[in-house]
Amino acid sequence: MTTELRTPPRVSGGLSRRADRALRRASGAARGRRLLRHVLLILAAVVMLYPVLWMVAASLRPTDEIFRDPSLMLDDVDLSNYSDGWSALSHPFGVYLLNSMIVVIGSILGNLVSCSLAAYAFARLDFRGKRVWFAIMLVSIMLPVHVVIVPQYFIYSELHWVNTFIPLILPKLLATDAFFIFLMVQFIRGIPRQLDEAARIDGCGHLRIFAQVLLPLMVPALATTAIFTFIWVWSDFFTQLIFLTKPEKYTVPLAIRAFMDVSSGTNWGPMFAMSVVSLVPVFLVFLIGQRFLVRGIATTGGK
Amino acid sequence: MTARFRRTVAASALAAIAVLLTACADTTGSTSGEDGTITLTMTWWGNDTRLKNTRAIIDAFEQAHPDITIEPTYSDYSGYWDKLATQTAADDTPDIMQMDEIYLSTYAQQGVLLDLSALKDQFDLSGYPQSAIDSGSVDGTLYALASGAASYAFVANPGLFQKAGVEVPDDTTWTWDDFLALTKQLSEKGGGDYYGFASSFGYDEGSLRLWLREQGETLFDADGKVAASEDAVASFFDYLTQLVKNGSTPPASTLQEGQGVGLSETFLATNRVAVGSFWNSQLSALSDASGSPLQLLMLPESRGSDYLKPSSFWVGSGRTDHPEAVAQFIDFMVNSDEAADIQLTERGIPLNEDVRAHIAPKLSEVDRAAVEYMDGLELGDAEPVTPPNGSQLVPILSRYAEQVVFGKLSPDEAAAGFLRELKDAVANG
Repeated sequence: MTTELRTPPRVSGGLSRRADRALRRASGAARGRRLLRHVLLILAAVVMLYPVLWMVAASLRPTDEIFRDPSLMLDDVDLSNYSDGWSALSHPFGVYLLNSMIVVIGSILGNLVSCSLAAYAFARLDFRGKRVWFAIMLVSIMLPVHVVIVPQYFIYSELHWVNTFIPLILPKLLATDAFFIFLMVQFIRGIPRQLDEAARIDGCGHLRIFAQVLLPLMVPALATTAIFTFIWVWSDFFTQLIFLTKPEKYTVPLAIRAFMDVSSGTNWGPMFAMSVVSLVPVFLVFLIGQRFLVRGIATTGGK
Repeated sequence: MTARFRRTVAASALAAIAVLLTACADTTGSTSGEDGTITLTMTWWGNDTRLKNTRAIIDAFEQAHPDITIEPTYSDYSGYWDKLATQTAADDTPDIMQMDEIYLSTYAQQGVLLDLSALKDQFDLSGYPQSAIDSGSVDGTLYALASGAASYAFVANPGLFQKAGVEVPDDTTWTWDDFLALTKQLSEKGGGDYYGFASSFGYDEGSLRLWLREQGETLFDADGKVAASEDAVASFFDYLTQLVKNGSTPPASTLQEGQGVGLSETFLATNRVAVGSFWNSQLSALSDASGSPLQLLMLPESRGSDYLKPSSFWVGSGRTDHPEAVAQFIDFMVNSDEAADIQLTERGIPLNEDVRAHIAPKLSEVDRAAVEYMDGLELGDAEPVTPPNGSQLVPILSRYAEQVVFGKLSPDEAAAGFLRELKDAVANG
């Protein structure tokens, strides 16, 4: 992920400058070097992409051929894995995609609202023990999920909320993703305080300063939060495994795992096909959101 | 905005969220409807083939028992145990669970499981050999009925034997020395294209347990203590060393890379070895993956020592509100012809001999070979139930096997270390 995040601005910036210079000089040596650089970069890209390409190729092969033939070349394209995989489980795969979507959208909304409010408080308000609370929040990033999951399960089970999406979405509404709070605190600290002060003189309270002055300026940080939440929640397996029990509530990661079995063999073909399907939304979101993502990260704390 | 007004807004917003959330909440666990219907929750691990079979069995059961509804849930093997542990900790176990042998005593001793001996009148156990009932009992109490069983076996690829010009040997008379010579010969003929033998032999519990049984020992005793002697374990590791040094197997690094892979990526399934070791119930999956006809062979000198490993069990939850209904379902699952017709040998070869005879004519040729193999075994006593924390066995064993294969530890050192660690793990269980 990090390579994908970092490379686009550096490469495009570097290349265009280099391209200008190359045009001006138009010397053969420079062109040769440029060619070499491209070839190397493309080779590196192929190496990085090989696992993904292999998965796509495997999804187009009959299951029994997948591990006998490691090449990317296909003799003939077999789409049956896709139709088999779509209907192999107790519900059509679309149900799982929809469930994942509900969880993801709920989580994104929850994180955007709650983390930005918490970040505003940490960045702009003065209250007793602020430093201590901030430190506690940061420490909570390091708490592994396995430590909190049993007490969480106990609470949700007592409330009869297991087997609903509530245990997956409610924590996001309570600003439990400390990473995003931290990200936004850093971002708000970069916004000049004079803006708040001017608004205050004009009679704004905290809510209005937050909603009308800061929020519009925080779009890059909000976009970063939304995209990361999407990717993390979309591929989260463990909490969804624990809290969702009925097959009609299953999300994509749970459904894909249902193709696997250690003793009697995994149904690889349909599994890879559905993995490809499940990557499409992430790919699209990244494609559309990439611009914001890079800006959001580049402008937090760096100024 | 005054401070009080803001607080009121916040409080009412929270209240609204709470109401909204409870409105769409749902209850879990066993329930009785107003009209006397019973709902049972049920869970298992496995792939989509098992899912289809199990759903069909549930439908058949619900038709036979209109007052009982089964609510299924499933996941993959590793996730299954994470989830079950969490649910158990929160006292929220499903009514009916699939259980693995290595976890059976752990859950039984925590008092989580339903005592099936008290419900004996719900079961027809006449078709079971005593060893099958013993294998589901902990401290004399029957907690579990096996969905099926398997036996540790060698699987040969006759195509590669033919290619090498070597006869497939008679598995009723061969010795471990014969096997060493045979696999060396196969590796030499293969010239690197294929080898004589490679599998999880030495790394998996089946090979160690059977080896010890051939020496007249068992890994664990009936009290759940580690019973194997250091000499016997050392001889096991020594044989593993000989296989590698002899060239019967691929080089140590290749052998190591082939550990812990899925069934369809194993050496045998990818046609890179002439013999591998597996559970006999895996024959059909292996044949599908390799695309070659395969044949089961008994391990050398194993007559009278072979044992049946239950591939999985059915257990009930001790806190279920409907123990009779749970018992009825488990009985239907393991003893009814209807259920057997649907799942055949997918959950292992049925231990109930009547059921096994019933499905025999319906099986594919490969599955029938696996059943016939099991019928032809001369079984020893049942293998004692693995004690709590015995699930550590395979991780510990495979770590020492690796050291042995690479020559980092001598067989004696490895045996001592392995037994010490295993005893520690079991004592802490």
